[in-house]
Amino acid sequence: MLLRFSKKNKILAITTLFLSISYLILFCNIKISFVAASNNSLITPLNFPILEFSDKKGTINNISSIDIELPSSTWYITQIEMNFTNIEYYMDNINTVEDIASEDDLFLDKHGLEGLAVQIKLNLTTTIYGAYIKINIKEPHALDNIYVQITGYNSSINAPNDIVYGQVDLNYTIANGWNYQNFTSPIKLPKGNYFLVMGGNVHAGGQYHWYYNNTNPNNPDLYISENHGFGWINGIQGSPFLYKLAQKVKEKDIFPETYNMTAEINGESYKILNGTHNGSGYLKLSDIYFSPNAEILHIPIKTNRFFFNLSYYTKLKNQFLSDAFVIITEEDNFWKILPDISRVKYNYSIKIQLPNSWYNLAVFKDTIDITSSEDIVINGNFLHILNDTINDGANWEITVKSPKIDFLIELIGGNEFKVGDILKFSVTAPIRDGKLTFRLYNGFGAEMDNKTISVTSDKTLYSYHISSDDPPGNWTAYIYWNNLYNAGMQSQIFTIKSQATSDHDIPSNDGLYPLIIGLGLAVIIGAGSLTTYQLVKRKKRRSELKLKRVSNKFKDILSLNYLMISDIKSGVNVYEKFYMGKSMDPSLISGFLDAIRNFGIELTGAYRKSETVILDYEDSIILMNESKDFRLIIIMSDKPSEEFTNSITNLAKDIEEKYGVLIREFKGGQITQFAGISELIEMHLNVSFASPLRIAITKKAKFNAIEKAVIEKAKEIMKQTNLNYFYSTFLMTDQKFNHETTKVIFDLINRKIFQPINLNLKE
Amino acid sequence: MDDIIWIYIIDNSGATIFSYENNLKGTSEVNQALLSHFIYALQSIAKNLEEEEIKEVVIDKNRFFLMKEKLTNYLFIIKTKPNAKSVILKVILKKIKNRFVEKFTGHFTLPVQDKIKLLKSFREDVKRIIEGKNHLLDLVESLSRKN
Repeated sequence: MLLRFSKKNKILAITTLFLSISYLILFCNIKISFVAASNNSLITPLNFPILEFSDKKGTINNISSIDIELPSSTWYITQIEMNFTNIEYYMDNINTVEDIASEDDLFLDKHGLEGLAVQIKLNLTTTIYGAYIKINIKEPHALDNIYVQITGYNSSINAPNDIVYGQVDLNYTIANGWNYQNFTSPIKLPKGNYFLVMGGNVHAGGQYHWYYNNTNPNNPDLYISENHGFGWINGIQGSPFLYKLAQKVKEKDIFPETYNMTAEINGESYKILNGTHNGSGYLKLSDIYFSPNAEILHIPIKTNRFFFNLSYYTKLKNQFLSDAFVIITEEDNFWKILPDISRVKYNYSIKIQLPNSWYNLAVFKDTIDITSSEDIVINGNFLHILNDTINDGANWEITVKSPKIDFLIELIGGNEFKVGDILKFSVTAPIRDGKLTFRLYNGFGAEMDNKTISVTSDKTLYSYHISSDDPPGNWTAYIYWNNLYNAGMQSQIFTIKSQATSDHDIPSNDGLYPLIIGLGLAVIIGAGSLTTYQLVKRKKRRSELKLKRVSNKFKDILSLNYLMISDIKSGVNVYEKFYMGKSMDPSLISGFLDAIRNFGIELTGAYRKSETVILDYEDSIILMNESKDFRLIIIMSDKPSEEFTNSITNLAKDIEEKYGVLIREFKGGQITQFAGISELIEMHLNVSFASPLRIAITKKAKFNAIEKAVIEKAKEIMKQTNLNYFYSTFLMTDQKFNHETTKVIFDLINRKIFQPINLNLKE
Repeated sequence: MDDIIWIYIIDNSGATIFSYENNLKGTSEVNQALLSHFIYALQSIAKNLEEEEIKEVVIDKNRFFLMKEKLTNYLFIIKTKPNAKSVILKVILKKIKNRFVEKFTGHFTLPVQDKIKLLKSFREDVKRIIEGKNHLLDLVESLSRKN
């Protein structure tokens, strides 16, 4: 019996202990698990620097300056090597062939000669720009048609042949003397014999004399010939016509250093060194780093008289910033780099810096782990991805882990604060680099603050003003630090007390306090503790549900695109309102829905929610509610919550009740009688939240601190934007949902402090 | 250019033609609805913008640069961090607008697939413009430092 009693006691004691421990675990872990559910880790986006390299080589022939195409204008050149071959150098000069006249009795006239020609003998490839000829023109006529040509050489008769290399109408500025004949395009002629011809038809009594020297010519071997209208006669030597050639002549024996051949790169002149043989040269520049800021690297060669063939080799380098992120956790950090690699068509590789602390590196190409491939090389602190494995369109991911980096948190004013205080502390980052992210959660796990501060000094101060609406309890601040290569996180718990009482309003995750309470009450609370836990859990659920409702309502309103009410018989719209988003033709949608009905397709299951039909149409969501008199169509950019769908059903019922008869009897014409529908819409859907709002403050209106702050913010934004209205979303920091601000805006709209105005941005 | 948070191009109904986020953002569904509305609402600020005029506004510490394209009436928006340099951002916004016009002029009626290709290539251009450290930006930056 004693034994049985003792056993019973034992069982009771064990049960009580178990319940007490359960209580403690549950009590202590309520917030911990909630915070864990909201994920203590932080995903921080990064712009991760990646180096890309390319070696480009090629040959270009017959050029006078160098253009090398680069992958893009951001690339740098780090080395360039150029080998010049077949270098040609051209000199401009006036080549005086004959300049002293002895006779001028050979001339073109109407009944006599039609052509006079003198041999041109070229010993080198020559470019001829023009020719000076000494002529004497008598009684010219406007209809005279005289020209100057360079022709080929008929070696059988030493006279011009039919090949014309260039021609120009006779130009003269003085009737008797030297006149320059400029060919429109320079005539490049290889070494050989040619003829300079003056020919044409003389209309009246004009005479076109060409001086010649038959006494002591410089070039007595040059042939001249005449054309009497029947073709050129056999050439004769000893009396060449007077002429000079404006020409460019290719020099012999070109060595770049002799001719001071230079390449102009990045504003500097670099001498081209002599090559191993005549007409060759080279230039090599290493350890350079310059960007032409263009997609073409243009290298002028001075002077412009060189022509050459080139083979080149360049080393190119570029840095781009890749999408990346780090997940900072309480243990190690996980990094993912997502480089968008667009390979260039020549030899190409990637280089990424790896800090010593990184481990578990993996490189994925199109989701396949290729870390152990021979094209993935880890050399010292760098990861190289080599040419052969890089192809266009591949998806790359590089993942790696890093250990947690610790940093120091210094409390300012302890870890207990009351409502109205400023919660503050400072953080000493491991190095003066990167950024600190602060997230502050209340006892229910709801985010109270989220800010990021760049580390610019040894200590970074964080502060948060605890407002009267903030719930007391144990709050947790999570602090994350990261730069491009390292990261770490810490947390700190603060006790926030209400001004009226210092008791805990909600359960605490402070291990010591509940432990003392728990131990003291362990024997007596037992199952009672579970009840307390249930109450707390319910309170938390209610709070979460409330937040969810505000969030849903907010999302639904901002997704509203268009609302239309049409008479079901005539199809005429009695009310329509555009809210925001892409333009759609409502009549097309209405027709589309008609077609569905006419074909007898039953809208059931997922498409039917209460009495409102929901359809996906292109990128939009269409909600339709039909009564016997009207059709209510709403277009949204996103799927609405169930509550919103129910609100549509209720709205349709209200419209039926208040405007059903009017719509039924509507025969077209004025629709002003339906203007009041907007009040019903506002009542059911709160659409003002998405409308432009103005501020209307009455003298009697009183506001709490948060309302004041929201109103002041709205005023400040109107001042900044120079508008007399604002939008609710302008008040959301960083365009992120904030339930407190949302709730205040809804309240202020209900109190008509924030009033919607009509505005059509599409006008 | 780390100061840029995002770039949007929207038509006059507020529909997004092009978006570019300069950072990875874990935006929730609700935030997307908010962002869409916010961008739509920015049109009110840009309503009377002249061709080539850039409007700069500060909303809740972030800066927004807005510019309209005359023919299409598209609105080009850049959101930046508070300390972003106006003079540089204005140059970037103009370059992006000009690049867009250059790329899409005459191509608005292309088949969807071709438009997607064009947009992909435009995205690369935008990336290059905002990440590229070019001579013009250097110049502007040095001038702004002097001022």
